[in-house]
Amino acid sequence: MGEPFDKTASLLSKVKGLVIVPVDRPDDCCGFGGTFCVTDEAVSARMGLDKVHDHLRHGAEYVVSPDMSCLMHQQGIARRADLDLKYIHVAQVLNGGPF
Amino acid sequence: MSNAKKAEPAAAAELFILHDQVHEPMHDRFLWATMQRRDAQAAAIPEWEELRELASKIKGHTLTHLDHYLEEFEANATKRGAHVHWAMDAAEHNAIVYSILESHGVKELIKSKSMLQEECQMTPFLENRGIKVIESDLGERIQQLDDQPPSHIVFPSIHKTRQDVAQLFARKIGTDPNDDDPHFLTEVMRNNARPRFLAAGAGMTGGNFAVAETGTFMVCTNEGNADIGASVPSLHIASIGIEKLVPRVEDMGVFLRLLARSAEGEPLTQYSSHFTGPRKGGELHIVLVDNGRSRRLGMPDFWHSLKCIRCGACMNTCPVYRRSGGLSYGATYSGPIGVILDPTFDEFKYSELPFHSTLCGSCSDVCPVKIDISDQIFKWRRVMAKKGYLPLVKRLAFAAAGHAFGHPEEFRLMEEVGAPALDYAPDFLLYNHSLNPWGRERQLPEPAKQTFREWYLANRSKHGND
Repeated sequence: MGEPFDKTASLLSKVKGLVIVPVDRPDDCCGFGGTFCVTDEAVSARMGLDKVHDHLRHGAEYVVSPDMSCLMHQQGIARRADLDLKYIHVAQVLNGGPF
Repeated sequence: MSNAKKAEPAAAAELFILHDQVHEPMHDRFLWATMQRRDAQAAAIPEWEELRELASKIKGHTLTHLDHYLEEFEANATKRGAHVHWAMDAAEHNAIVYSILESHGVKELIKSKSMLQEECQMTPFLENRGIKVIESDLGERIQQLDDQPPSHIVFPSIHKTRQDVAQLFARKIGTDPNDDDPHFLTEVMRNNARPRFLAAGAGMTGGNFAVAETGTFMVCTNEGNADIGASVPSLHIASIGIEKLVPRVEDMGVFLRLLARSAEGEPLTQYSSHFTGPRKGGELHIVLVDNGRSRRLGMPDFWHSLKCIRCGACMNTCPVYRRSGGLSYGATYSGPIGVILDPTFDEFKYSELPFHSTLCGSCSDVCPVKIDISDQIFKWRRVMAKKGYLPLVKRLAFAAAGHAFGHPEEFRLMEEVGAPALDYAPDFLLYNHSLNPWGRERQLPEPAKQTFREWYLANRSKHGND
C-alpha cells in the first residue's frame, strides 16, 4: 500500500504561519452525501457530529476543505451544537480571502 | 416485483443510533480500530497493491471460465472420495442437505459459520424437519441464542456489548448476568459447546476457497470450531458457492495473504484448513450452490461482485455501516457488499439499500479483490429509479434537485429569492423534522452576502477569464 497523499494539506502546508492539526480520522466521510443528508438524516448527522468533535478535540480553529458540501454540512452541525469552529474553503486561504 | 416488505435501512439505523449512547459508538469505534489494523498490515507489505490486482485477476479469470473449473473441481474431489452435489438454488441446497442427514439418521448437527447457509435459510428449514442445528462459531452461537441473524459477515454479534452477552447467557444458559468478563463468557460457551460436538451426528462447514486442480476446499476460522465439527462426527457436509473456485493451490498464496489482513488486520487466520476428500472412515459431501450466481455472472454491471471473498473490509471501513449496525440492512449481507449483493436476490425488497450510502468510495479502496463496490452502488440506484421502486419523497427530491442543478438561471433565481426569505421564515418551519430533516441536528447555512458567482463577476471576469 502506498503512502497516503493529501493534495489539500500539501498546498496548505506551504502557507506561512498556518499549522495543520492532525486528527484521528482524516479520511472518514462527514456524512453529507447529497440527498443522503435528508433521506438518511440520523446516520448523516451522527457522522457529521463525529467529524466535528474530532476536529474540536484536536484544537483546530478552522476547518479547511476543497468541498463546499462537506463544509456546509459540518458547519451546520457545529453551529447547532454551538461549537466554536470556523469553516472556509481552501481557495479562500490560498487567495487570502474573501472571508 | 416481489411481494416482500421493503427493507428500510435508514429508519432501522436511526433506531440503532437513538437506542442509547453505548451501542452505536462502541460499534463504530471497534470497527474503526479494526480498519486501522488492516491499514497497518496493508502498509507493511510493499506488494500489497500488486496482491490485490493479482487476486482480482485470478478471480476474474476463474469466473470467466467457471464451467471449466467447476467440472475440474468436481472430478478431482470425486477422485479423492468426496460426494459432489449440485444445487441450483436455496431450496435444492436445503433438500440435498436434508436428504443426506435423513439417510444417515442424523438428529443433531454442529455447524461452523457459513453466509451461504444463512443465504439459504438452512437452519430453520432443518429445524422444521426435526433436526437440531447448533452454531459453533462464538459470535454465530450468540446470535442463534438471541434468535437474530448475523449482523456482520466476520463478526456476527459485533453490535452487542459484552454486557448484552452476559445478560443473554444468563437467560439462556443460566450464568451470572453481572459477570461480563470476556474470558469467563468464552469459557461458558466453550463448556456449553463441547458436549454438542460429541452429540452431533454430522458436522457442517462452508468453504472459503475451492481449488479446482486438487478438489480441495479451504475453511478459515480463528476458533478452530470448523475443524472440530468436521473431524469429530464421521459425516462432514460442506456448502460452497460456485464463485469460491480458484484454479490452483498456489493461488492460495495470494488469497490467504489478503484475507485475514483485510478482514481483521491480522496476518493470517488462526486455522486455515485444507479438506481434500473424507478423513479415514468418514464421509464427505460437497454441495456446490448457484442460488442466483449464474444470473449475476450475466449482469454486465454487477458480475464483479462475484469476486468477493467475504472479508468484511468494506463493512469495517464504511462510515454508514459503522453507524447503522448490520441488522438495519434487513438482509443476509449488510454493509457495502450487501448493498450490491442483496438486490440480485430481490430488487424490490432491497431497493432502498443502494441509497444507504454517501458514495464516499472507501469500500472500493480497501476491497482486496478490487470490486468497484462504490460504482456498483451508484449503478443500482439507477436500476431502482428506472424500475420505479423509489418512494414518492425520493422521486420528488431527486427531480427537484435535478431540475435546479440542470437550469442555472432558475438556480440563481432561487439563490436570490431564497436567501432573503430565510430571514423571515419562522424557525418552526425551517427546523420541523418532517418538513426539513436537515434542521434537526444542523443549522441552515447563513446565506453569503455575496455569492461566489457575484464575487467572480465583480473581481475576475474583466480579466478575460469569463
